[in-house]
Amino acid sequence: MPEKKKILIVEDDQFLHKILVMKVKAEGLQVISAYDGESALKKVKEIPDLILLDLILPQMSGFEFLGEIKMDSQLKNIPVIVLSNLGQDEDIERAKSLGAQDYLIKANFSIDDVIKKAKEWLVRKK
Amino acid sequence: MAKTDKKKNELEKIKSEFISVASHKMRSPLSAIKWYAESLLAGDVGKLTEDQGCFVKQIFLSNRRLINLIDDLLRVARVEGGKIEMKHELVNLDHVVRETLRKTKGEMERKKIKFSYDGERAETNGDPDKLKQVFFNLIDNAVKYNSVGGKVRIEIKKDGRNYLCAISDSGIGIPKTQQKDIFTKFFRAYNIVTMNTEGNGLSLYLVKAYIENHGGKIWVNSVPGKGSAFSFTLPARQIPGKTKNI
Repeated sequence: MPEKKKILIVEDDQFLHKILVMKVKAEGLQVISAYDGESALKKVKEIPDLILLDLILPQMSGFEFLGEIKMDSQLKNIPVIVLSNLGQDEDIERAKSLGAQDYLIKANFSIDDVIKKAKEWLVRKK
Repeated sequence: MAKTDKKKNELEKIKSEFISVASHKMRSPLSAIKWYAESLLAGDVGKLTEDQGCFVKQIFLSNRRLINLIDDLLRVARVEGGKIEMKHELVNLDHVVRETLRKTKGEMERKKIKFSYDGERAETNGDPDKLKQVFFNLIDNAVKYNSVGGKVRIEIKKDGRNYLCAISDSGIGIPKTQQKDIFTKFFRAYNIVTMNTEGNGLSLYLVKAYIENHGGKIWVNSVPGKGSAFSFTLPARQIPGKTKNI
């Protein structure tokens, strides 16, 4: 039986975190959870297939986390979808220049769109 | 006098920054409400009764209205703080119109709007997202303030060094005495306040700001009970080394 794909969810808002976990699990995927940047940096060592990343996080921001993993040869190829409510062009450009593959503004995307996008990146990664 | 202006500018800046920060903070709980309402409507945690479904739909729609208001307030804060981030790209206006039409298609069909579009190859240098917002706000209004079976017409034609774009409708129109205020912030004409339509009075304010940022201008001709025509200009793309425009 093929191993389940793993998604690292980095989100400090407990309500958003909970529903993301529920939706990802409903797709038969495995979840690794982190509520702040520092613990995300520890958990990313489990080598997930995809990362859903919030930007405004305690301990270490999503930007810093992104910068760290993209400098690590073992982690840099893991696709990262940023899920943020920062919607200014400068935030989007900064995240993309740090290596984020996609950027979704949470308030403007449905939860199903987020899951659809995540599945698209998992397929691309194959 | 200069001191008063300086103070006024400082206050304006503080206000804009406050709106910007507050808007970002508000988006998180609103995202949670949106995603949970969607999940309930999708039956993820069990099937809802008809009444429960209606109630959750209302929560979802009201929340969407609030998200739209916050998005517009953020845009206004950027306009007023002089922080409009303008991209300068080649923009094909025909593509912009067609993309906008895809977004408004559902509502046009629901209201059985008779629609026509007469465009030509039109390219300008500008910010594609802002221009999409301009066309969306104007076409959305033309549909929103129209009656069932009404008409909406979009025209883009060359006018010297500019493109002249016009979006006209057969809707309720704007009272003559209020037409001068139509592009001011939070303005809503008295004849639409009684209509059961969503609107926050910011969309035309933003349309005007974005068009002017592109070097264009906008005006309206409207007859109450017969309809409105919003016309605006956008500079045509200049090809270096050529005197004629495309």
